[in-house]
Amino acid sequence: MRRARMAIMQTFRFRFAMTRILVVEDELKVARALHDGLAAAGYTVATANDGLRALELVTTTDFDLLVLDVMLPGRSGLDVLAAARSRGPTPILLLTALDAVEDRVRGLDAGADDYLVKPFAFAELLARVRALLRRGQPEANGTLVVADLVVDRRTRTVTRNTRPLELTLREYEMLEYLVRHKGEVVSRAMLARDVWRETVRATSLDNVIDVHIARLRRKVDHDSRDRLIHTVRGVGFLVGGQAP
Amino acid sequence: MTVRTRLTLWYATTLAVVLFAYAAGLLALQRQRLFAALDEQLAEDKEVAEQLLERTPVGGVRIRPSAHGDDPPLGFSLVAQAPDGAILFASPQATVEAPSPAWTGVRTLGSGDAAARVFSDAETIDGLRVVLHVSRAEAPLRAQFGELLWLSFGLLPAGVLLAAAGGWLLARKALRPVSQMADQAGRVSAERLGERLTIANPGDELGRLAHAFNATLERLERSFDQLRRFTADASHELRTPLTALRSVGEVGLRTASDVAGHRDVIASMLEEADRLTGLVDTLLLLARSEGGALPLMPSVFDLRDLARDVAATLGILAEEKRLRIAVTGDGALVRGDRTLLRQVLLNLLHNAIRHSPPLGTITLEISSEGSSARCALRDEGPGVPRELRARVFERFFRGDEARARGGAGLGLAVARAIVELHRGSLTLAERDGPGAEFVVRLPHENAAA
Repeated sequence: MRRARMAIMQTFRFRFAMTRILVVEDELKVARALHDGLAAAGYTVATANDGLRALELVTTTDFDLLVLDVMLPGRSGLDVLAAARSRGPTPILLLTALDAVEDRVRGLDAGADDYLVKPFAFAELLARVRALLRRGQPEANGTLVVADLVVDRRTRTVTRNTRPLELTLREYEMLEYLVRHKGEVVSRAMLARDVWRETVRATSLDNVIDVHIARLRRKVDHDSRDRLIHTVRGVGFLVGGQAP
Repeated sequence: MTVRTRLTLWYATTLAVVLFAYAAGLLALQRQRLFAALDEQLAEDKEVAEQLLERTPVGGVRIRPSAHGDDPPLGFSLVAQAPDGAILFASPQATVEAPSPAWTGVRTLGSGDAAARVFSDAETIDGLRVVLHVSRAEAPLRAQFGELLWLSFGLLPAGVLLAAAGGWLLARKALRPVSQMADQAGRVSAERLGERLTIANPGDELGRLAHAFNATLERLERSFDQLRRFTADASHELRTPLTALRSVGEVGLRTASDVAGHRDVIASMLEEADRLTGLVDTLLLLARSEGGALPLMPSVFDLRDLARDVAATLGILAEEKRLRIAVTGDGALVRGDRTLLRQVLLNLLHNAIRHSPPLGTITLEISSEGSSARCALRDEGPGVPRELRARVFERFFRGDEARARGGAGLGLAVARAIVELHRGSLTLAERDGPGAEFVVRLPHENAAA
């Protein structure tokens, strides 16, 4: 039943939304994984494995979003970036193996909208792709709802089944982030980066995050039969939807 | 050109120039002396001639006949001339031809072997005015001088050559230790860094050179050792999650039969991939900070604020163990990359929380100490055993407990590398009794500056 609904949803997306994403990545395995993953998420995906092909596609076809590896054979990813930028405001997500600040800055200066350092969790890539595609659209109104959980962003209060929850500031921020990404898996790295604002990747806040999640779960799912916060082992956490 | 050849050439050239100048000066002086002596002789000869001559009744002059008849020959030639130019008298071997009555003083006539020194002077012989020209051949004088000249300049090159040969040998002797050092240094390679130069005389220039070279080798050997150990450790550490990845994957492929089983295998592999990512990120940070390739984004901030921030971030872990984290002391301004220094305190506090017994207290004490801002982090755990104290900052070093937990043993190494990048220090304080105390010192940022 659920599967059938998913299929209908996908068809619907294909037909009416047709969000087209170009993945520029020279590592074939990675390119293929990105292609399959994004396609499974309902996007129409084209891939280019070198800079020249990427330039060709970028200058002849309209895409809604570019996922671009900076280090490419043929032409530098930054050249492709410049070409795409000169054509229009298509959002660009940069993939880089370079963690160094100046490379990031160079990419962002050249007009990229966001970046991801390799290796990244696919969940994070998906979250960023969605965020970039959402950009420019008006934010959903102040209230987020998942099942009987209501997050009021104006008053920063949360109720579950109309019963208010006592959350610490950090717990609220985490929950809001998870609910904003409802139905998507949120990795620990995403939480560290977006909730804790941790910029050094070598910092592992994993155990800190796990403890926070455990507490949050106790408060949110305490006396409810339907659990809302799921752990996806090896990837991260998920609010709403079905745990795999 | 070798140093030895150059040295010898310089030496020989200098010697030749000096000797030449010396000999030339000496010869000039000698020549002047010889001529002065000859001129003196001629003046005496003239006195003698004056005594010997007498006026003849016909208005000429002649040698006064001696009483006993046999006249000794004159040792010089003599010509007497009237003021009008007429020759009044000429001795038999007179060498002066066509003298002028106007001459006075000395001059040299003729050249080569025929050269003669002439002294002319006006005299009055028995009331008759005459000009006397006395002269002697210069040949003996010239022969003597020639001999001297030959002696000096003929032997000079031979002397210089001899000295050069001596200098060559001397240079070889002096430079032999250098050649030996070069040979020894040539045998040093990455594989044989244990080789050292022998120091014959530690006090002299070469001894100091050898000492400096040995010190360089020492440092090189140490860093090579470190690198070797690091490479070995790093590859071991990287292999562990890779091995897990592979074996979990392979076994899963063989045995997992249902979707849940496959999910489990993949999740387990993803966990290992995360571990690998964390390790690589940390190693990269470490390599960059040690290679000086880590760009710092410095700002001025209060170390106590940072300590509070870190304590708040990790507070939840402390709470779980019912630990108390106390941040005490006064504020202390430092300049540095806040994000990186935050990492330092995070690592240290993480360790402290791990090693503390439940209900314990962890103290972060901030103070100023001279020109340093100091953050001392104390826990009430078992402390670091004395024999391991020196090694806790080594990369991949782990205590037994940490090894069991699966940490990579890089936290303290990273912390120290970052602090040292800020020209500070991170040390483990000497303490008796339980509890570990790590001390971070950073250059103080003067609030007024």
